[in-house]
Amino acid sequence: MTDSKSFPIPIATLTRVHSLDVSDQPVEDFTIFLDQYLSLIILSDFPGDPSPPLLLENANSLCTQEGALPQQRVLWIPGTAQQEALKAELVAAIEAGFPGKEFNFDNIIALSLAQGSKQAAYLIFKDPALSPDPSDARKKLSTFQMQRAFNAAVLQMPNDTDQ
Amino acid sequence: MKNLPSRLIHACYWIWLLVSAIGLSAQNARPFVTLVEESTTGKHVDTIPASGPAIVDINSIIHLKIDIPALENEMFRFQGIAGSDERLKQLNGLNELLRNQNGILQLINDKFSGSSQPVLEDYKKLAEQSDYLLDGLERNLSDALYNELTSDEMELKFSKFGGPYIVFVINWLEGKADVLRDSLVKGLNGDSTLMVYFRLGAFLKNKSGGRPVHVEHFDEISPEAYSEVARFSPPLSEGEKSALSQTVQLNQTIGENTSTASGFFKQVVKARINDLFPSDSSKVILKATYNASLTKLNQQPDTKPAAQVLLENELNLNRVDQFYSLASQTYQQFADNFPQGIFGQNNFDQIFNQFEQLILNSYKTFNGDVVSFQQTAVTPPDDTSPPGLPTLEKVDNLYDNYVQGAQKDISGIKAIFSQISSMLNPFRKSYLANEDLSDKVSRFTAGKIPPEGLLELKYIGERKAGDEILVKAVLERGQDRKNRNFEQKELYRRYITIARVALHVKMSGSLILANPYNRDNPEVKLTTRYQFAPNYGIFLKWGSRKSKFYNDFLSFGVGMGFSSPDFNLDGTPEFGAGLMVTAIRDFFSAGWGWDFGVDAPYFFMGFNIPFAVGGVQTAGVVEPGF
Repeated sequence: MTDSKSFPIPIATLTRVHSLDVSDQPVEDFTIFLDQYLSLIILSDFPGDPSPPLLLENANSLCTQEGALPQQRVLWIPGTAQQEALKAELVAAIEAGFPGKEFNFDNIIALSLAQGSKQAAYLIFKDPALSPDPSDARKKLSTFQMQRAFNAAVLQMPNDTDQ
Repeated sequence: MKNLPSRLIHACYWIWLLVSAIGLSAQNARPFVTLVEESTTGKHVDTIPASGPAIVDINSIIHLKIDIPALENEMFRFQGIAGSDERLKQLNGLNELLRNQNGILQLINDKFSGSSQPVLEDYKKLAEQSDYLLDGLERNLSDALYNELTSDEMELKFSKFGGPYIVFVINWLEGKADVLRDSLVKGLNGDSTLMVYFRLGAFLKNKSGGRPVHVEHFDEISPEAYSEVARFSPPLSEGEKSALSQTVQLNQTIGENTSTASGFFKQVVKARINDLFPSDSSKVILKATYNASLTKLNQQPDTKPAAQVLLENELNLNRVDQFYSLASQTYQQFADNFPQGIFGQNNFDQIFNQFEQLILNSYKTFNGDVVSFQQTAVTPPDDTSPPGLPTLEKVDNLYDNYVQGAQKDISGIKAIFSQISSMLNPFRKSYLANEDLSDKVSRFTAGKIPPEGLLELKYIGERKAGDEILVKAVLERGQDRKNRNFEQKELYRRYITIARVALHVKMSGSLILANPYNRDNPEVKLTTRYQFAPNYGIFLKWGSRKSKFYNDFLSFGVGMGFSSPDFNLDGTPEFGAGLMVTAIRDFFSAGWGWDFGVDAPYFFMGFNIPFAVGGVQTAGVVEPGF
């Protein structure tokens, strides 16, 4: 069990959207984050979007709305450097959550994980058409898909989780 | 001829296929209404089967769950929309997706609003139900609709919505469904007589008749309004139903609470009342004569004994007078409260019977006193009547006239009442027992139908085990039966039997044959094998939700029996107590007991007695269940 830790809030109004410290131990911080929170990890810098990006704002709302688990958080990883640093962990999580599934990590824009889990619960794609799985056809980043991602992670929460 | 067996086999095969197809189609047909029983404690929640016996506890709550997608489809088909119409298909699809919307909304409301403290299980439940809907949308929505739902415009709308995303989606879907409904209704070109309405009602039925009962969300019937209708007519036979059809107009008049017929009868009753009570004038004459005679007789010392007779009977006359006013008022009230007053016929008759008895007794007392006065009064030497006797006889005559007149009036009143009652009997039956949905039963258009109704048996007024609840749902075209476009289609009809299913206490008396089997006890002097003894049992009973046969016939009970055998034959009953079981609606009982007087065990068997034995009341007393 890791110690609890505070994570930066890059956009002050979005209290449930965190980022990782640009530190020398992103993997350790990432592990702590996953242990602390039910996470929706967003791997996009939302180029061309207003600030704050609308979808990030909505993702924050999904964490504060009635019926949202208190541990729900968004981990926003916009930088390529950090994405690269965490790639191994993220790929492992996807492979653990979707064994045998064909995927291109570069086409993944978001994934969700239950608290303390190392297995991805839900995948959202940059371009769903590139996924060989036809059931992914509509899994493009949207509030709709983010809600589904959170739902999938909630359903994977172990029943003995402290709230 | 050679081919005959083969043809026969083929024929049988096709018949079998046909029967199977019919069976499958019947199985697949979803009922528009699903009934779910919830016990008072909430421990028992179960769906009442769509066919076969439907038995519920007398205190249960019945949830009437409406299959909105199927119902709306049926409503638009009834309106004349073809099943192949794309709009209807889309609406069916949206309705299917929205099927669980109320479950989701209620879950959010119950578990996540205000000061609720949800647990992980609640979050998971919401996630599961919400994702079921979202998954259905992702799989089934057309590209155009899905793209609209996930468009930038909708993302912006959600950012300003302020509620849960799933509620936002449900609202959007509802909006889409409403657009389709509006489009389907537009075909009616605003002709309200073609508008299709859904209506659902419930009726309590028993061997005395029936009455509508309140279904929460589906009508404005208040239990108080019907609780006073306690006496019912016998159930309607086919012949009576036929006769009823001849009184449709009268029936409708009352059922729809219009005043035409009741106004007519009110007039009749009032007119007759004005003509009634001719005895009123004879009463006035009697009273005037009575008082004048009393004054007159009181003035002379020799007529004072005669005055005493009048004085002693004055109180009785006044009592009659008071009762007379009361009876008149009762009759007036009946006339004013027509037709509901007709249902209180028994009380009405009782009041007039009492009145008749009172005046008759008063007169007899007076007459007796006059006769007695005649016999005991001192006759004058000239052999004329005793002083005051002629006056008393005159009053007696007037009293007699008055009594006879009053009796005639009373029988006249009762005859009129009986006449009106018999005239209104079919109407009364229909008023109580017909199954027409009154205007108090709401009309719902597509999109406005509540997903669930509640029938709380505790609040439907007087009811007893064995009564039945009829749940009926219809589609109606237009609101006015008289309109040529009006048409009614019955969608659902189900009888539910009310039974005492939950554990309850019953007490009843029985006559037992007790056998003190240990004859070594010297105190037991009984020479015969059995001795009759009265027994009073207090036992627990329960009913069945599956078997009407059990409830109506077997109906076991287990409890304690208290009896008073006399095993030592000393003429004084001892006290015995023991365990007993009852069966066949408590008609038979058996058990084991201990006679505390002679310290002897005994076993017994018995049967319920339709009469009192040794002070034991035989009428079963049912205590509230616990």
